Amino acid sequence: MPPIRILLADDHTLFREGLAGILDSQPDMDVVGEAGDGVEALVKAKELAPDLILMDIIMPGCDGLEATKQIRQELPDITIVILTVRDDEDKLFQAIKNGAQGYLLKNMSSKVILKLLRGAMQGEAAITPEMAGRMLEEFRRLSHEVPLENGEDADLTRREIEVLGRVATGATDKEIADELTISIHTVKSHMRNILAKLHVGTRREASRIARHKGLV
Amino acid sequence: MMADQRKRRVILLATQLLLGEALANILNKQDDVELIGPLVPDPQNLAGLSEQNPDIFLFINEGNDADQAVATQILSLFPDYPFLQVSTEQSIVRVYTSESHRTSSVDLIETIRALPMKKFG
Repeated sequence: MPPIRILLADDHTLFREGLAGILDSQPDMDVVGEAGDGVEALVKAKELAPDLILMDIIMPGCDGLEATKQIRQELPDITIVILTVRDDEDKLFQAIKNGAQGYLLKNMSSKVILKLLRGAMQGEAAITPEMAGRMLEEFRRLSHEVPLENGEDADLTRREIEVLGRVATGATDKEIADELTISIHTVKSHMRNILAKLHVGTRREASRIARHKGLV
Repeated sequence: MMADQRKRRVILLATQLLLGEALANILNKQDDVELIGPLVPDPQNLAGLSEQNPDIFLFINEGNDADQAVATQILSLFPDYPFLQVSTEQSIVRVYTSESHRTSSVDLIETIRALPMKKFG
């Protein structure tokens, strides 16, 4: 059986080299190319036609989520698995929506990652049972979407609802970050999305809607 | 084996397993490096690492509060050891060392020139 031809897309040169060494040492894997950003990943995917792309998310210019979407649109036969340090369920859901076959974290051991990559090439989802649980929860939530006062669909993610619920209790960003074990930067990012989706300008207005909808 | 021929003993610390393994993959291929790790840093037991007789500490720092605390602790516990931090946020390596260098004007100017200039405005 021919080895799995892999393209690595990660802007961190040192880790990319190290990861290439781990993958190349596997008898059934062959790293055929490396890319430092999403645009380069797209170009090299067209050039090299790999079987599998291991894609980081945070990269300069075109990030890994956007690159995944574009590559899957143009080259649907290529399997793409996200490999990131970010244990962020919004990113996980976005990655899957954009066509990724899996979402792996860099805090996992190479042994686990290699097993999941081989599974991904057989059509299995390269995600941990914990992530699968979060996805099931998200599907359940989607069937009970939170409608806005004007009848529109707020389309808040489960995490955004969790953040909004805590904002409505008067919690600060730091308190929310501690409680949900995420960074303050992530809380602020969720808040920006919440305000935009609810079409309001302040936390107070968002809190009012949250209370009205029974989120607190 | 003579002192200048022995391998450099590098302790590699990383909380992200795959990143530690990736760096270990590179370092293990070097003839003049003896790698200890990758080890997950345990703030309670960092002091004991000196028993491994390292020459260099190498730490993959994700930039979060926990990793910054580990970095501070290493610098505090082992001020005389060269300490390298690999950032996961940027493709860079930070080097901290208390090693002494000669202080001729040439050495000083070379050191200044070797450091990157800050960008303003």
